[in-house]
Amino acid sequence: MKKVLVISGKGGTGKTTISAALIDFLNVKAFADCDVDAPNLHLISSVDTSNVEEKAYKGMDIYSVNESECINCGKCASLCKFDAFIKKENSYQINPLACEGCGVCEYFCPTHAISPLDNYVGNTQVFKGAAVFSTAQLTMGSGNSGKLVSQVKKNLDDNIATQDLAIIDGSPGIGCPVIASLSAIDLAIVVTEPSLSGLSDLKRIVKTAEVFKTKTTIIINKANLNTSVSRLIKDYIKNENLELLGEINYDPNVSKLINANSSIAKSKTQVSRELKIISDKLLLELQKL
Amino acid sequence: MNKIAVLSGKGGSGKTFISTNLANVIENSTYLDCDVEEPNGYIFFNKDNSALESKKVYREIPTFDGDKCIGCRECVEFCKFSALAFIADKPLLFEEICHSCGGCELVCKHGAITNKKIEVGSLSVYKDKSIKTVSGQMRIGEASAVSLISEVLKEATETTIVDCPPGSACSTMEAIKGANYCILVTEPTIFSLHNIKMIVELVELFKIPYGFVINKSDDQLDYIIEDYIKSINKDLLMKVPFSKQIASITSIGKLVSDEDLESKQLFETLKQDLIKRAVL
Amino acid sequence: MKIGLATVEKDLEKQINQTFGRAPYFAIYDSKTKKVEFFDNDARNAAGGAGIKAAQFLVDQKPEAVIAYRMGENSVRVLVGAKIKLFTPSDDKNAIDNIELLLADKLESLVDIHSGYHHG
Repeated sequence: MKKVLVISGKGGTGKTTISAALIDFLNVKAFADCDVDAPNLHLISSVDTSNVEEKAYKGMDIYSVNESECINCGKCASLCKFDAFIKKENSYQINPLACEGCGVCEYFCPTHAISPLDNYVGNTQVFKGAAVFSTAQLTMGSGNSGKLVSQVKKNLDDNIATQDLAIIDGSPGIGCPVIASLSAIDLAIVVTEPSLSGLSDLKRIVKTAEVFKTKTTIIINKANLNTSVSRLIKDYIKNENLELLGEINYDPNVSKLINANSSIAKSKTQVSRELKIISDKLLLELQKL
Repeated sequence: MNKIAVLSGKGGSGKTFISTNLANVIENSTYLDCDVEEPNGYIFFNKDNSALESKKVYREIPTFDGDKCIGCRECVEFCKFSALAFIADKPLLFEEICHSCGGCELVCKHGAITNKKIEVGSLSVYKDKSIKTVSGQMRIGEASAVSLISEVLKEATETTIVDCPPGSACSTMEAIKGANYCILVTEPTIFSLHNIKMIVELVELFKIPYGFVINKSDDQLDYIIEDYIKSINKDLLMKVPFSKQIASITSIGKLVSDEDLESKQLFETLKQDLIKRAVL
Repeated sequence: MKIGLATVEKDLEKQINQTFGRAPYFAIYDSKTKKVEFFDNDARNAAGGAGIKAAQFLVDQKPEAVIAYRMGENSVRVLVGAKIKLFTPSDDKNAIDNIELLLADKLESLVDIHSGYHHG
């Protein structure tokens, strides 16, 4: 079974739109949305929502002060490296959004007034119909995104033993959720756009994927919006010995199709034709692995 | 001191576009790029490609003295992040998992643990016309942007525009700290609507007043966002029309508020609106 | 020689577990006494760093070798740091057969090392 991850570095380049189209074209029956911070794939993938396994996801414990036991000595606040303490009139309390769960305050509190709290940071969902779709939503403000991404991938792994191909829609950036999603991936597709911002971000995400020695391919989306920067990107791809999976030209119909929840793959548009070519090339690349 | 944070939840909606152009029409403003994983703002304010000042930013991780370590493993047992293992004469540290809490150093009763600095990234300061630009750039492979964002925010001045990271997790929360107003940037798609609702939850939690901008506005699609804004009784501050020209100018690293009169007027109007709201 | 492995059940006639950090049990087999001891893997419930905790547990049992299908790089770092040799099992054989293969020098080194599910 091969796993393909769609990432971008820069946000808004078209990861989710392209993932959904590839899933359609290649008739993929196992897919996941690892952009747990801002998941969107569920909005445009036709999943059977009747059969879903939903679980609350527990992150690392955070801590809380039992204010009736607190003697207001301030030792906790003085040791906290994360600025998580709030000074109240006669006690201290911990800001749950700032607490990283290190436990230093609990260890050093002279009256044992601090103890751990269960910390639910989001929900995982696994839809099991004709296809398996694993996704999650991180509770706003939480810091456990990397672990939740790992759980989404694990939920996918646990349910798809017989499938040949799984497609995972990733998140923007290069930080911990992206790092977590890159593990155990056979091929990464980086979706970029022809702007100097896009090129700058592309270089950083390619370097990040390199750390994992992942086979990296690139799609230039909205390529015709700036042909000279597209050219710069293609030169970069050639110089770095990366694989250009394909180019897609900007089409204003795409927004309308997305908003109407219509399949791009099934539409009679230029974009659909370009994506079909890309999906065929993807299969070839996967065979080479 | 005025600090306006520009955020969107969904990537690619136009945070950098809005924040750089807004900073550009405010004299003596400071533009802080807190999207330290993928910073882009410096491209727009970096005409002669040279930084005024560049410095590395660090966090602390523990180091272990094998001679003083007696193998009691109190540190290994204490670490909630499982960043320590004990295999030879002293603990083994997993740097990328270490959260720099300092706990192991504090709990060691034998003075065997001190600390050293590792690089989380760098911070560069540029000056273009009257605008100070600060760009944070996270080291590749570093998992958490929070400490670097915190350093970038220290460069705030009297009037600061903060370009936030995408999403609504810990990096974004750090970036909006101390803001007295938030501009929520949307585009007329269901993706943007879905993600902006999470951002609204976040700024409500932080009790920061906020208003909306619709970027890449389209008469036939704007209702997706406008209906939502009306339903929560908030204000739409500005619409930037979808235009190939705007996209083109921006794609080569130029500011539309310099290159195009109509766009400049849009941002001047936004500035006046923010002044009227007493946040600028 | 003592050999460590993650098992599906507390029974060497059954399979070696496919994963390491969150496997249900660990077994330590002593080739001299031909005795085996089974342990519940406490690391499997850890919020994070399960691979490191699991590897730490094995290190403390002092085996000379560990047989595993695949392992995260953090676990590898701990085990290799403790000078424990890592081997990959023969797919179609159960735990005790793989132990015999190891003792007969017929197992290859572990190659399936992934970057792990770490990061918080």
